Amino acid sequence: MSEGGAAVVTSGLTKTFGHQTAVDDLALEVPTGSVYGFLGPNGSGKTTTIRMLLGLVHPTAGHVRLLDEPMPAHANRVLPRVGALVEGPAFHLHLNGRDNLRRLDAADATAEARTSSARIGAALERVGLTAAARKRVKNYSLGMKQRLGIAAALLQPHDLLVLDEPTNGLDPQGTREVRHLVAGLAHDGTTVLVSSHLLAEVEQMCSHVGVMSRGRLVAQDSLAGLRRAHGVRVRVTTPDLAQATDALTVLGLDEVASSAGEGASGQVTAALGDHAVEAVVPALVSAGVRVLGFSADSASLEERFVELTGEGFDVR
Amino acid sequence: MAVLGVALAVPALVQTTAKADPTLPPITAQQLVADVIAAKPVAMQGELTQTMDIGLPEVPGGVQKPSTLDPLNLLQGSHTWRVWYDGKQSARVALVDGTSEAAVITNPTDTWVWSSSTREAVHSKTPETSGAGPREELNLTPAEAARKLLTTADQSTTVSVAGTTTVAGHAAYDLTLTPKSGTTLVKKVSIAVEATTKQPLRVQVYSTRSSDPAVNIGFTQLSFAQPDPAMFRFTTPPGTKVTEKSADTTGANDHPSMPTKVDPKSGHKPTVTGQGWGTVVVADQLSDLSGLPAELQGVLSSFPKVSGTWGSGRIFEGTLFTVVVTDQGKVAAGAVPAGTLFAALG
Amino acid sequence: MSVEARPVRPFAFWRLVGSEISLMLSRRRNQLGLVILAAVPVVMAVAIKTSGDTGLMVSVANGTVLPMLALMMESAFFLPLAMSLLAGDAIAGEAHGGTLRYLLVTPVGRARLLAVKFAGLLVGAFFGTFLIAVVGLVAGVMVFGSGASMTLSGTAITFTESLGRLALMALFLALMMTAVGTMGLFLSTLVDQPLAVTVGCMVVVILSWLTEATSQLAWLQPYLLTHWFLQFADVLRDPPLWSRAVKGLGVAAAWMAVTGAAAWARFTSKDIGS
Repeated sequence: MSEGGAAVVTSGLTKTFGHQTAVDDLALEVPTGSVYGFLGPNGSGKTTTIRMLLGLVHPTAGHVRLLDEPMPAHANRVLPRVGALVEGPAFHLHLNGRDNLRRLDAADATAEARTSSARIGAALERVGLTAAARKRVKNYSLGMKQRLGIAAALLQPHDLLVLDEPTNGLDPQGTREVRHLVAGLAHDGTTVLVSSHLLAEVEQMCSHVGVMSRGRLVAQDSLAGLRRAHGVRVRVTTPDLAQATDALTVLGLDEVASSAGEGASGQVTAALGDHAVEAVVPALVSAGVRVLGFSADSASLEERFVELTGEGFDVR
Repeated sequence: MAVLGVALAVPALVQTTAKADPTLPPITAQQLVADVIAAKPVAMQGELTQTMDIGLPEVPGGVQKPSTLDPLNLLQGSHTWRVWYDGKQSARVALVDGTSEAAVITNPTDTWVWSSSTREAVHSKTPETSGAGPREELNLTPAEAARKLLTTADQSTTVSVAGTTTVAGHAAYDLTLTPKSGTTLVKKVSIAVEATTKQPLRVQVYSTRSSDPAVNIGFTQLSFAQPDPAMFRFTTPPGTKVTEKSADTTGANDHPSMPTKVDPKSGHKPTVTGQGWGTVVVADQLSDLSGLPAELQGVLSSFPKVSGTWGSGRIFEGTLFTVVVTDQGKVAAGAVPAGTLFAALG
Repeated sequence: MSVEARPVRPFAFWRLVGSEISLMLSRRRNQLGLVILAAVPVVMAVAIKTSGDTGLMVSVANGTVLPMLALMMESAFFLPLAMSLLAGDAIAGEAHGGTLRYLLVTPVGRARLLAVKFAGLLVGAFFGTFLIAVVGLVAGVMVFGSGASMTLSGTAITFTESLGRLALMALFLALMMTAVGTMGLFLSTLVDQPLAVTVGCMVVVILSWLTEATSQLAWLQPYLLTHWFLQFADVLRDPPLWSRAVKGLGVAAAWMAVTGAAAWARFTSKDIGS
């Protein structure tokens, strides 16, 4: 695997269930060595995408390459190099934590039986479950199960970790620990793909971000790149939404969006780009738009994502 | 594709694999019949299956159906037999249905009837015989069934060699008897005669009412090797109830429900009309219907009612024969359709 | 950085089979099931001891007759039920609990996992059948002793000889139960509800028994597994009648091949959505 290549590449990746398109023409690119935040509201297609990456679900169309190998054709070659936590932890509830890990270790054809106990002990230690290792998983809290799931992904060294909502159910302390864990792994050179519906989490952990909305990838860049790309956005308060939208579009502004507000007036926003801010209001006025308010400011990441996805994010 | 292939292979596993008919030297029907009658009994051991579809309502029982020599059981459904015969006077015939076994073991001195389900054995001295063939209990072997058919064959029957076939791995001629009479329910009788020993290996009786044989008795496995003489001895196992029978009553009283018992009850000789395959037997004054065994009465009352110019009664219409029992106690029977019986009664 | 490719370890398949068996044994319900399977011959022994009668297959019984009867009784319902439960757990149970996706991304190849599950069912079938035989034998020897017995054909056989025949019966029935389990394994790849698999599997078994009792469906009977279950009694004849038992094993092999291939076709192409 070449340094600087991509650990995950998809092209035209599509999955339909009956008439419903869960994932639509996805072109994902997770750079090697990055911590990639796969961000999107619940139901936006993140988990289905992750299932396709790991060969659990067969794509309706498109291709997946994982660590430079086609999936699912080379699953047996690729997956030993990938650790995964998919859609929440799942264990045999009547077995204790250690026995559950032993089962998964036994399932790994590349794992040496002789060193199994040492591996399991180390993984449990790493997620702080050593004390609870002999407790039945039935009696674990959601956070403990989550940590056990991460321990399972850490049984073997991996080139790529796929963590689907790894902080789900964790308390703030647990969340911090996962963040440190991910940072440590990334520092050691492991590429990490973390899915989340929490913007704050992604902002704190990730170097790269892909944003999913209704099955489509609506943005993908490094975190810094995304921040830079925001630039300045103008915001017009007016009752004439349609005329304002037309006027801004004619002026050449991008990403024009309007939203009806309370009462007669609403808001129209657009990315200013290279245009001069002082040209905007005269253009609106000459187009007959009644401008009730005007502002030009740098949008936060959150506002940006709300625009991209049309939905709000939970913010801690 | 693999699934389909295996699925198609299943019937082959269950049924005997169909093979191309063997090539045998040609033989005339007359010669073959003569050979069969002249053929000496030979030692053999093997397995037979018997499938009866003569129209009797079958008592369900499936694999747990016990092995019993009761004729009502043997006249219906499928049965498996094991046969050992030394070619002379010793034989062992065992019905091996379900998880039990019923057997007749006969040697020149003793005859045993054994039933594992009742854990009973009936013992009798084998009667002195002047070298007659196998005992009455062996009637179900194709040898005896075929021989009977061949001796009764007369002008009413076309006897032909329809070709060759394979029975239990042995090449055989297919001797076919076709009734000339159009009135009978018997379409044809097909007898597979082993090519060298001329032993009948299979008898199939076809009805005009069905394309499958109504009676099909044949070997599924057969060897002409001399069986172990131990097979013809029977040592009463401890804990077995043993009944001693004098020789002359052996068999006759074994099955009190046998329909053959009915005829002697009537005071008159039955009248016979028609001939050959179309023969109809009318027995007068089976005076006392209530004298019949309860089992048989139950069977009788399950048959549909019928009436005509001759009166009214109940009718059994099987695949091979029809029986009418009138309310007055007259019985008409024959391998013919109901109309022929009505005519004989009227 | 790149993780060094790790070689596949020898005996990895058998390590997972071992894990599968210990998983099956760790389930409280399976432990209870084994107790019930083992209790039947014991209850029969007590009943025969106290009531005096028997209803035995043969008039002279030694210790081996009781396990034979117990196998006969349990082959109708308890053993197929046990196999249906194990089959329900095999794939549908893992899918229902979500553990299937973790096995598959470990990765366990799908065909390999199916083979492991089949091996587990095979072991389960043999374990259950031979448990009945062994417990029944111990109880039987206590009630009937270890003297001579007799065959269905009315001939005497020694205790040692009847032990051999008992072992053959258990072997035959275990293979039949493996076929039931394989059919259940196919159902297990169809749905994600282990209970649905168990019910479906038992519906097939019960419908087969009903077919067995319906003379109009006689043509269908030789194709059904249940038709051959009791054929193991043929080894208690003298000499043993092999032809039907062999045919029964052929039918079982066909069921295993067809349902096993269907399970493979389904499972290797299925979306794991749970």
